[in-house]
This record gives sequence, C-alpha cells and structure tokens, in this order.
Amino acid sequence: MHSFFAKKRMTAFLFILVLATLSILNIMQSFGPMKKTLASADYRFSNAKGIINELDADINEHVFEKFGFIEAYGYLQSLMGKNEENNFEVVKDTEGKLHYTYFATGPTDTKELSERVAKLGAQLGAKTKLTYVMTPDKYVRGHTAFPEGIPYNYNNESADGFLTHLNEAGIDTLDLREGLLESGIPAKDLFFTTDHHWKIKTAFWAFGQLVHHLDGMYNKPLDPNHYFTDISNYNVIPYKDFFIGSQGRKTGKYYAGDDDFDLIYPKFKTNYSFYFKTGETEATLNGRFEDSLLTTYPLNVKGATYDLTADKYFTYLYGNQGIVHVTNKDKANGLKVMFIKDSLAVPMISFLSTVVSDVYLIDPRYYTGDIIDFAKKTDLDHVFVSISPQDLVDEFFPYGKNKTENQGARSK
Amino acid sequence: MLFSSVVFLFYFLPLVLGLYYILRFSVTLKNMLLLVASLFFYAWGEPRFVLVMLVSIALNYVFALLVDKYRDRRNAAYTIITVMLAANLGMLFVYKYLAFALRIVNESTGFGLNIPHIALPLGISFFTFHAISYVIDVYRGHGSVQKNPFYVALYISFFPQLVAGPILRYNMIADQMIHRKESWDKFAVGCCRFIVGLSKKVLLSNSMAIVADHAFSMGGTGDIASSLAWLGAIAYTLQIYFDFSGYSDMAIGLALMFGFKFEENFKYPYISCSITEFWRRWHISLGTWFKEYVYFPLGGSRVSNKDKMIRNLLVVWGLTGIWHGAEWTFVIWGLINFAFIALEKIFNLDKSTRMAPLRHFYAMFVVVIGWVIFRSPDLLQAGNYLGNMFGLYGNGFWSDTTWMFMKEYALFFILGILFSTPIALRMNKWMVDGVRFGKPLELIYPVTIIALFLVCVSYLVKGTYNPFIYFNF
Repeated sequence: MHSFFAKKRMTAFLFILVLATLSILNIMQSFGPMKKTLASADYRFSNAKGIINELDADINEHVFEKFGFIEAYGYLQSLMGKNEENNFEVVKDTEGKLHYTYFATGPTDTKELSERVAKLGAQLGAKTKLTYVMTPDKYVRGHTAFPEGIPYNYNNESADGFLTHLNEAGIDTLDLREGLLESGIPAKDLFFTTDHHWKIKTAFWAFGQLVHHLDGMYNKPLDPNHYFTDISNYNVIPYKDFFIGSQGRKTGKYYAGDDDFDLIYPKFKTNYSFYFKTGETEATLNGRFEDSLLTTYPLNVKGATYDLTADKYFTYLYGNQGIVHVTNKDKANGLKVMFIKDSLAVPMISFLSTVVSDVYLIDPRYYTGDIIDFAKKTDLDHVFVSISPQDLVDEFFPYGKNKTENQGARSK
Repeated sequence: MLFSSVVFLFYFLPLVLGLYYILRFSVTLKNMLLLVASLFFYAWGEPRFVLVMLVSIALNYVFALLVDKYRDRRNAAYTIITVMLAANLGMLFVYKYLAFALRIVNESTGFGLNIPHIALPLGISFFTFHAISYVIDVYRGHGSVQKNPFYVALYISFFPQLVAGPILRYNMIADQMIHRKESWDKFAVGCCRFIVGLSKKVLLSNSMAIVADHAFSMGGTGDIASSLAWLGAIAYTLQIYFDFSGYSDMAIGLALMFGFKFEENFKYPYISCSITEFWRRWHISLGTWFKEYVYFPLGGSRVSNKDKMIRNLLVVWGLTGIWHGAEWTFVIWGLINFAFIALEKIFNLDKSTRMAPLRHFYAMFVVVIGWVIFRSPDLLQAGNYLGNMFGLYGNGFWSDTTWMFMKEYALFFILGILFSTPIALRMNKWMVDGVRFGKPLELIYPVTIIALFLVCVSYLVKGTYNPFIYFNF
C-alpha cells in the first residue's frame, strides 16, 4: 500500500509542478489579448456568450509554445506512421507531400459557377477578351498517389467538368494541368511539401505557358525574343529548409519536414508602381520588381517558422489583397489585364507583369465592390479568371449570380 | 467548459485548486468557492442557462424544506413530491422532449403544429436527477434538509459531475459537503485518476470518434462495405466507453482533489457475459438512481409474480432509453436492453457460469448492435447502417477505406480493446506488489502518467477532433 501511494504522490507532485508552470506561462502569454478583449467588450448579459467565445479564442490562440506542442503532436503521428492526421485535416501522399482532402463519392457540380463566368464574359465590352486559367491541383494526375484508402476529393474531375462547361459556353480556357509533367521540373518539385501552393519555379513555368497562350490571341507577341520567359534572365535565390506552409503549420515540421524556397526576380532593369487595398489598408510602392512587387519581411524571418505573417509564398505581391494595381512603367503601351484570382495565381501574375502594361488583381474573398462593375469601368484588354481546382466553390465566384441566389445570399 | 480544454486545464483548475487550498481553514468558504466556481464553469458554456439551473435549485430548495416540514402528513408530503416531480420533469420535458412530442403528434395526426427550436441546457438531465434525488432523500430521511440554499446549489451544480455525471444521490454526498477531509493521498490519487480519464477521452475516445463518425455518416445514408460498418460500430463502442468513463474518471479524480469521494461509475462493462451484468458495470450511477427512485418504489423484483417484475423492468428501461435523448432510437435502444434483461431474468441466464466466452460474445453482440441504434440520428439511418453491417444491400465485405482506418487507427483500436479490460488494474497491482523491480517501476508510473498528460495537452493545443457527445443528455 505504501508503494501505491508513493508513486501517486510522486505523480501528483510532478502534476502540480507541470500544471502550475504551464498555467503561469499561459496566463502571461494570453494576458495582453484577453485584456484587450475585455477592454473592448460590450458588457450586456445578452452579449456574455460572445465575450466568452472571444476570451476562449484568445486563450487557445495564445498558448505558451503552441507550435512546440503541435510539433510534438506531429512527431507522435509520424511515429505511428499515420498518413492522416486530425480527422483528415491533411493527409500524406505516397511521397510524403501534404494534401487537403475529404471523403467524396464523385466530382462536385460546378455548372452554376461556370455560368457565372460566362455571365461575366457577356458583360465585358467587345474589346475585352476573357480567359479562364485553370491552375493545377496539388494532386497531379499521372504522378500523385495516395496510400490505399486515403480519400480523394475529385478536385481534378470537378475542374474537368467546369472547363467543359466553359468551353461549351464559348469561353477561352488555358488548362495549366496539361503539360505540367513535361515542364522539365521534376514532378516531386512542382508543389511544396508543406503548402498547398505550387513552387515558384512552377509558377514561372506557368507564366511562360500563359504568354505562349496569349501570343496565339494577339497579333503582337508579348515576348517575341523569349527574353522575359527565359529563367536565365532572372535571379533565382535558393533558401534551404526555409518554409513551412499552411499544411505544415497544422502538423509541425516533424510530421512532414519543411520546404526549400526559391526567390525568383528579374535580373533586368524594371520600373513598377504597385498599389494595393484590402479593407481600409492601402499603400503604393514604386521601384524595381524586387522593391515594389516583393516584400522581404517573410524572407528576413530566419529559418522555417510557423509565423503566419512570415509565409514565404506571400513574398510576391504582398499575398492576397482585395485589389491590386500593378503598372509596368517600361511597357506603357502594353496590354491592360485583370485577374480575378486565388492565391495560386499570384507569383505567376507577378512574372506576367514584366510583359504587360497594367495588371489588376481582384481577390473575390477580400474585394468588397462589384467585380463586374469594376471590369466594365476599367480600360481592359483581357480579363482572366484563375481559381484553382480546390477553390471551385461559391466564395470565389461572387459575381453573375442568379437573382434568386442573390436574394438568398442577402437573407443569410 | 470542458475538462478536455486549455481553459479548464491551465486557467480554471489551477485557480480553483489554489484558492481552495488557501481557504482550507473554513468549510463554508471552501464550499462558497466551489459553488461560485461551478456556476462560472457552467456559464462558460452558455451563460443564460445558468438561470435555468438557478431556478431548479431555488425550487428544489423550497420543495425539500416543505417536504421535510410535512413529512409526517402523508397526503401533504405526497402532494409536495408530486408537485416537485411535475416541476422538475416538466422543465426537463419542455427543454428536452417538447419538440419530439410535437413531432409525434404531427406525424400521427397531421396537425402540423409548429415545432419550436429549443436549445437544450447542458447537463439538464443530470442536474434534474440530482434535484429529484435531493428532495426524495430528504423525504425518506436519507439525508438532512439543507437550511442553507448554497449547499443545495453546491450539490446540484458541483462542477466535476455537472456536465456528464456521475449522478450523485444526495444521501451519498450530504455528509461530505460539511465533513469531508482533504488529504495529500486523496489529492494524489485524484490527480492520477484525472489524468487517466483525460487520456481516455482525448487519446482513445476522440480517435475512435473519427472512425465512428465517418463510418456512420457514410453508412447511415449510403452503402458501405460491411467490414467498414462493423469497424465503425466497434469504434463507436470504444468511443462512447472511453468518453463516458473518461469523463467519470476525471470527475472522480477532481472530486478527490477537493476531498470528495464519488462512487465508481464504470467497472469494465465490456467484459460482461450478459446484458444484466453489463448494466451492473455501465453508468452505474444512472442504474442505481433508477433502481432507487423508480424500480424499487414500483416493487422491483420482489413482487408477487414475474409479470409485475417485467412491467417494472419495462418502465425502468423505457425511461432509461428516453433519458438519453428525445428520439425513437433511444427508446428502441432502451427497449432492446429491457428485452434482453427480461429474458435473462426469466431464464436465469445472468446467473449462469457456463460457456463464458460464448456468453461474452452474445453480450457484446447485443451491446454493439444497441450502440449502432443509439448512435444513429434516426431509426431509418439505424436500419440502413445495420443493413450495411449484415451485407443486406449487396454492399460487399471489404473496402480500401476499411483497411485505411484499420491501419491509421490500429494502435488506438488495440489500446482501446486492451484498456476495456482490467489490464491496467492488474498492471497497477503488479507494479505495487512488484518486489524485484519495485523501485524502477515506482519511477516508471509517474513518468508515464505525466507523459500522458503532456501528450493530451499537445492534442488539445493542436485543436484535435474533440466531439462532445453529451448534448442529448
């Protein structure tokens, strides 16, 4: 009996020690945010639940060594040889890359979304062309494989159906999934391991494909000497073990490792004006490509970090902004184009800016105005819609809705 | 607030424990602290429902005073008990069963009555049963009436048992509220019990929940391989056990830390060889409550003939079923338990000692099928899921998904099955009695338990799947 209580006492002593230490450290960590929440709270009984929810979020967000615990969690999953973590939040493919997925029995119906794109096209002026640029899914057909039984979300098949509808409606399309495996980039290096985005070299390859596609549509080639699309005219700065992407942030680096990151920017002289606005935040920057279109903050944060603001992918064009206007001052008479896009397209568009005069970017998630109105009011030669297969959902297509859908959206 | 949350572990618990032991010199202050902490604990989930609980406390405080005063006047006492039951069960009915009842009326008459969406106050079934227990025990003289309303409030709202039990009968706790004694040994045992319960919930139950939830969502409405349906049913069997017994362990552990001693609520139910035995081991406090306040008053088993005993069993199991939730699935689940218990009583099967493996297989088969019905959102989906289990839709036996879930969750299935048996108890005994390796084993235990705690914390900080299955209760 003495032994029974002895080990329990020892355990209790350690428990109190651990509990007290973690408690003090957690309170210190979350004290500031909680104080802020309490200071700005609306102290009515009817709002009590709201205050509690905010405090709860503060506490959960500001856990002491949060990512240390997440790494420990990821390490345990790795020890158990798990290809799925936390209820399929992310899964590992056979080469160890992380993917978002879910249980699906077949492709989703995207007809309605394709009709919205067609309506957008119908409302553009006669001078303005419309192209849908389908960026690739991380599940690369012909290469990616999931371990037996891991669910596949049919993103590629949904994208196929979507493009078929667009082609039937007479919309020009560029499917960047085609030719991806012949791009010269090893298939395993097309996408980051810990992030859902393509690597910057893949985005650069896509830029070349886009220029090639446009050359077929306009009398005057955008890059007649293949100068701007030649990567040897760009600086490629490799950063080893430098990036943990959105998927890696969920599992920690001991589950799937980290990524190398290549920063690509022109060697040649450039001169830009870059304007962005999201909500009330807006700014304008001028200068060379690397001074105006790139933010160096993520690259200055040393090593692979979990800090969201140091996401290396968002080095280009300051990530996802509500609206962006890039002016290439060296191409005054070039094409004026607009992209309605998700995050995948951002680095590709950065490179495209070297061969056009103006690029507008609208992110449907953060832009609060009417996208069709904006396109109609702006002097544009070409409008691109570039939403990747995984984002073929209502949120990314807020324009061209039927009246009944609009009413439904308003009543929500 | 959930026990398995960062806010509870690193804010609420250390603060309440710290203050409690600072106030150790005064029982009144300690109890006041526990009451305030319990109300805060409840309010963290949904502040407005604190009012519902306070109304329940106030009413039952008065009922107990009245029933104590008029105990000798039989008619008056009966009237008070009747009004008390009507008030408590009426409140429970409005919040929990009104919508279900109106749905039945609509379905059977076509009246088209408006069905209100009433949010269920968390743990209402538990605190209502506590309240009823208090007044009846006072009437029976099994505990003295509380003149101080704060003690009634503490009994009904005491946070370790508030959300998921165990259901404490007043006579078990009345004396402890005033005369309990904290000790370092009690505290130490409580800590270990709490961590074991937390691990059961966070590591085993939540992992099994992922398998079960996917299997049930796919198999309730569509066709899935029968192996997957069985795997999902077994996963749910483990999920509900480790969830419920984990919460009970945490409640018992927390109570010990504050000097209280709660009765055991689970005793390895999955080693049972009959349904009768299963219910002696599963949610013991609920079974005891129904026995004390329904079955025995009806006459229990000591009645003039077996018909009456069967009637009594039917009432108890009908009520047990519906207590778990307002849906036909719970009623049917309760009646299935009734049917097998009645058969076992009639044929004395529960007293048999022969063919234990076969009887164990039988008991677990009935339990698993029962859990499928219990888990399903409605009878239609329960039927569909059972059809999938038995391959009634030409759905095939094997699928990649079955293999994937088996592979991904192999460790949790193995540990789940192992720890459903008293293996940990035997290991504990072996470690305590271990002579040759006594000292090293003494060190392994604390390191293992603290490591388990830190692993649980990593799961909680990560924000892993953490379903809460007591919303119906």
